[in-house]
Amino acid sequence: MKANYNILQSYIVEQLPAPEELKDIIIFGAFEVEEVVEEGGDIIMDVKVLPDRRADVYDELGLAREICGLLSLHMKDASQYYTPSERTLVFTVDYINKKLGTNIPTGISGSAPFPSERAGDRIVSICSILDRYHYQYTLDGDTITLTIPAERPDIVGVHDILEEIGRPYGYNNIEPQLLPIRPVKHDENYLKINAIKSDLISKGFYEVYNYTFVKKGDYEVAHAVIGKSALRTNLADGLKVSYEMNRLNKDFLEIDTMKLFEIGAVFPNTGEVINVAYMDNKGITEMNIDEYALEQNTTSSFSFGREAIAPFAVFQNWSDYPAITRDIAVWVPDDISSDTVISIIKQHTGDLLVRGPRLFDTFSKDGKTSYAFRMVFQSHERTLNELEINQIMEMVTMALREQHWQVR
Amino acid sequence: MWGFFYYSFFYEFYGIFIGMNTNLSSTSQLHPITLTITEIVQIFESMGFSVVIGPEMETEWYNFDALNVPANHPARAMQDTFWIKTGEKPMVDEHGHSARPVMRTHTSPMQIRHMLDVVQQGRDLSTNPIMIIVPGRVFRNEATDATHEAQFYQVEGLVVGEHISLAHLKGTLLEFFKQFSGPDTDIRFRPSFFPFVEPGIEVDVKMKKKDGTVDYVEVLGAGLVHPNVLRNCGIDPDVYSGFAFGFGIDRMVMLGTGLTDIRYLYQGDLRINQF
Repeated sequence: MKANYNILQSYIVEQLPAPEELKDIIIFGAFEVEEVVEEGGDIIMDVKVLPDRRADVYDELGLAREICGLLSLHMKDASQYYTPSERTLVFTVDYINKKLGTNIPTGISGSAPFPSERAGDRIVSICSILDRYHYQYTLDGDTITLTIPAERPDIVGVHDILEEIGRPYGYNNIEPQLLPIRPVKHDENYLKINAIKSDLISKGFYEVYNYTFVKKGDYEVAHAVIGKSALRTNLADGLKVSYEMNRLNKDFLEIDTMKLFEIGAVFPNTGEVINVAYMDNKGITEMNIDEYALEQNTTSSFSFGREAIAPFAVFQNWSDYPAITRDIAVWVPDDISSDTVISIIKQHTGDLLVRGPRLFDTFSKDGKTSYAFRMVFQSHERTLNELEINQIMEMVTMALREQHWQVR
Repeated sequence: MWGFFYYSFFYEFYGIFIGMNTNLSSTSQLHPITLTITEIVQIFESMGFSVVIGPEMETEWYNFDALNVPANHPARAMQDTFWIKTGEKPMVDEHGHSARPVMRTHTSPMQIRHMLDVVQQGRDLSTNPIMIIVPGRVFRNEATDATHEAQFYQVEGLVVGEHISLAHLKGTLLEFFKQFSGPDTDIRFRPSFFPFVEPGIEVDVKMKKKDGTVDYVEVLGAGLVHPNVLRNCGIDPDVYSGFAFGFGIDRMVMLGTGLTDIRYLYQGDLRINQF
């Protein structure tokens, strides 16, 4: 709802905090506020009232009432506080504290909240919170019998009272508590999938993820994206397409032999199963994870070592312009390392080098070592032409020859 | 070449996988979502959580009804959900629950399945509380663009036991994010509403964004499990309570790496394996 700040103020005795401050109080105490705009002398707050509160907060009056509760303020017209319904709820202060994880004292019923008490200050008691909202209730030791306001059809059970206390108390005033650690037992399928991934990786395969929705399948989806209204019945169809795409990019990817795999749910008419499919230059194989685990005898109690996206690893967007690959091989004395050669090459390759120089072959003979490097050139702005890359490679060749090394 | 053989031997000897670039190429052998889920699982595992996974094609009862999502809730609408065409026959299971098939919109249905299993096994939740995380692929019928896909990944968590509170929710999430995002991180709660929790909470996490600025970012929905949900699983809400939370992995990957287009994650293109 769009709440007019001046109209809000008109319902309330005390001076409201400034709009930006009020916005935060509402955000952390009740509802999201998207923006505060000035419209012809009025300040309008765009309040996203939560679905369960639309019955009582649909205009400035309802919002003003909630703000009075959050900030211990007073409505000018006492008849605008909550009115009682026939319904009651019974709960204990202990129940509230156990569920919130707090230690809020019971307090004294009917204690008038002080105007200076604000949300974010340590709330004194359960009773003082209920009093701020002018709930009607009776207190008997630890037990509260609360009359549910007629304006609050969303309050149905004692669990609904938790947020009525928690929000004005301030969720951010709750002290964090840790749970005791329990022994862990992972799902068999999860462990199986991990074991299979590890097995495939050790064999040089790379993982891809493809779409579940495809053109044709045994299950159709209603109101789907045009052309992709079926569930995939296999991984192979998608994997074959990925294989071709990645094979064309293999120099950029720095993968000499393309080997791909995917593990995921497929939906043949016999029902959902988890399959693994892998493909290399010999062909493609697909089976369900149980068959693979049996066949390859993968250990089922497997967890990956702790390795992850490096914190703050930055995504490098790639160019869709075609890349040009160039190889260079050079004979060096046995005591020269490939890193030394790489650093010389890189002095002459320039900004268009996107991959490499990557050592892809090496052998020694008669006191000399041959290194072969692959480089990939690509621009983010245009298609490169062969001539400009040839020029770069000539510079590289010259630099290597200057070291008295024989370029092959 | 020496490096490759050394790593390979090391892996086989220890039986665990360290590092993704066995071929010393700039392309990782594992997909960024796999890497992220692995990291998330590792952290929760160290806190005592077990992984549970479940089917991607669910039924209406498990995906909506059991989770206290009312029949007229907008999330059920055609626009938001992928219902499976079954040709008009009404589908009801032996408990009278709707068996209408639907692609799961969250991994919460597996939490329901797990709670039912646990109750059936007669487990004593006071000495042996439920502590699970449920990663998986989920589906929303949304227009696809750079930040929205019809399929994406979530991780949800559930703890059910005696005297489980919002303080435990906060402690658990804070500990997780300190390990995931760094010791300087912080979290804050805001009131929110979801049908399956009461109170409902929106959790913001303090993160360093790609441009170097530090800000609170809305990351998760959470709350105390709604008593109706516990009851639907045969758990007495007067004796036990629980908390649940869920967040989208793709969004975390995008926030953390500066990836601009979520669709890159599902095109089978190895250029995304750069982490």
